[in-house]
Amino acid sequence: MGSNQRSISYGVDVVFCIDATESMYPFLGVVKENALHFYQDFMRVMEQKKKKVEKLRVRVVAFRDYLADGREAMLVTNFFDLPAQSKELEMCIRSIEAKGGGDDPEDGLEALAYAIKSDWNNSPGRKRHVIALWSDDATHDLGFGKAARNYPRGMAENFEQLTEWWGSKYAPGIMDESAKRLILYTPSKESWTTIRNNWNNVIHYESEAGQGIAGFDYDQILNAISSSI
Amino acid sequence: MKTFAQKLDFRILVAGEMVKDHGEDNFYSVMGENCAVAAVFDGSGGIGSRKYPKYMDHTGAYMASRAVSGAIHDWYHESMESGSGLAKGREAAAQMKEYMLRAIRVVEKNGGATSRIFGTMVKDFPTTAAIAVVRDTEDGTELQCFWAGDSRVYLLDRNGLAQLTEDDLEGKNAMSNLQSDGALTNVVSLDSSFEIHYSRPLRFREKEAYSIFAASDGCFGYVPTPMDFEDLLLGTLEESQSVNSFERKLDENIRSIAGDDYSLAWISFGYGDYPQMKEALKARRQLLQKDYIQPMVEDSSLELQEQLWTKYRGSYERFMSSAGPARNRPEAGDRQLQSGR
Repeated sequence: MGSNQRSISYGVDVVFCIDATESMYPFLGVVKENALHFYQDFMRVMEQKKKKVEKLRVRVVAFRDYLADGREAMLVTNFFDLPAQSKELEMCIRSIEAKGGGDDPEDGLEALAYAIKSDWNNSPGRKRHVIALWSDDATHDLGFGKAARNYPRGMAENFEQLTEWWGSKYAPGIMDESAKRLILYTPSKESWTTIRNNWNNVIHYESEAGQGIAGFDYDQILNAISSSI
Repeated sequence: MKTFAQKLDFRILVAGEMVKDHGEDNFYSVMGENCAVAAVFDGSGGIGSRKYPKYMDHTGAYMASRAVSGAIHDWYHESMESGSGLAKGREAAAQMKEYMLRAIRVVEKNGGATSRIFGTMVKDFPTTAAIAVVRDTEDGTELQCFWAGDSRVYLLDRNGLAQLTEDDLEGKNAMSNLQSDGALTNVVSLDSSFEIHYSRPLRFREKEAYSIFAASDGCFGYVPTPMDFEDLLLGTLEESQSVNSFERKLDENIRSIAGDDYSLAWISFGYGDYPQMKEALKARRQLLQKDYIQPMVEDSSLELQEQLWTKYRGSYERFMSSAGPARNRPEAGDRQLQSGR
């Protein structure tokens, strides 16, 4: 059949954004297990669909509250190449502790900004750039923690600018429009509901405090990421 | 003068699913005294991933493709039984949309509660549709395509493969759509904002020989270039000895590369029999191999693929006007395209 045997492969980058504040304590273990299993589960689904993953990388952003937690507010890694660096990834995820956080809302939007600005693999060919974010509460407004000494320079000024960074099909942002996916495992609170209703390529699994991700819904999310849209 | 049945050589259907009993594609094919329909529907699993316990945990995408296939069945039979025959162009597109919406609303009503998944990447009962309607006329046969999404209707004749529908995707053409795997911009769903596009009628004289087929992206979306897809079709034709063997081998060959469920509904006209069809397309396969496939086997770079695509594209898009395949234009002023010979 000639050259049609040359297969199409995918380059997949995944960023895990994990709320690591004290209120996450009851179920941070489940979130960490979900994150650790994500690689195997995603590869299983891609294999079922005969989609070859040529390169898979994962990075982690653990977030809390700049004003309350100072230097512990945002813990960010580079991408780990999987499966080669799976031990390092596992150590990193297992080291995340639930602590701090101050008031109820957290600095989840700053974490999202870090994720959007990741060093995505933009080589030619089919790609998936996935951000998976877990939180049990609402977000502060962007810049709420500006008074903190370690608040990052170059952060999106406000939600509107963060929306521009995410982009849309009419005004692409930082990420590849075809490749990007945002999966939220959060309650229906601000700003998560605004994001799910207005940003493109978003899947929102509406979580309840203290609950992990049921296998039923988790498979649906994996299918949504692995399928074309 | 030949009857419609005499002009038609054969119809075949090829379909497969990645996960047993969870295939989200569906198809519809029918032939009447003076017309035929070949259609495929690809439930969009990426945006239709909600599962419905009342439907044995099948997804909205799974249910949508079946509901919409049933809608086109009803549209065809009710149109024929009413005595008015199949409508054309805008009227047909509007009728199809009405039937589709009616069917999806029934499925939604009976579906009951579902999971707590929301977002802009989630739609209720989404599916593509690619429908080829062929009818007999005094001057020959006439083909009109109707579609929403990225499933396609193609024509294959001695001049090669031609895409007749325009993908509702963010990508710019068939080659860039293969590489980017972009999002659908229009798809049939419970949300009634979708559009059923229709093409200008394409007319064929009685002596012309050609095949038309509707295909979901599981068939054509997992080859590196559109040229490879034509090679897959012509290569399968060449290695098969009969219509039955062509249907079986086409299924095998598509299955071997597909990364998704696949459906293909094919109708051939004017060749007389299978050996004559093989003979008529032999020279085209040789040219395709020499000018496109062999060079890509020797040099698999993306640069060469792009360069050859540029050369191939004119023929592949020969029925598309510069503004696309002349969809949804006023019918009174339709240019009646001949099929290029």
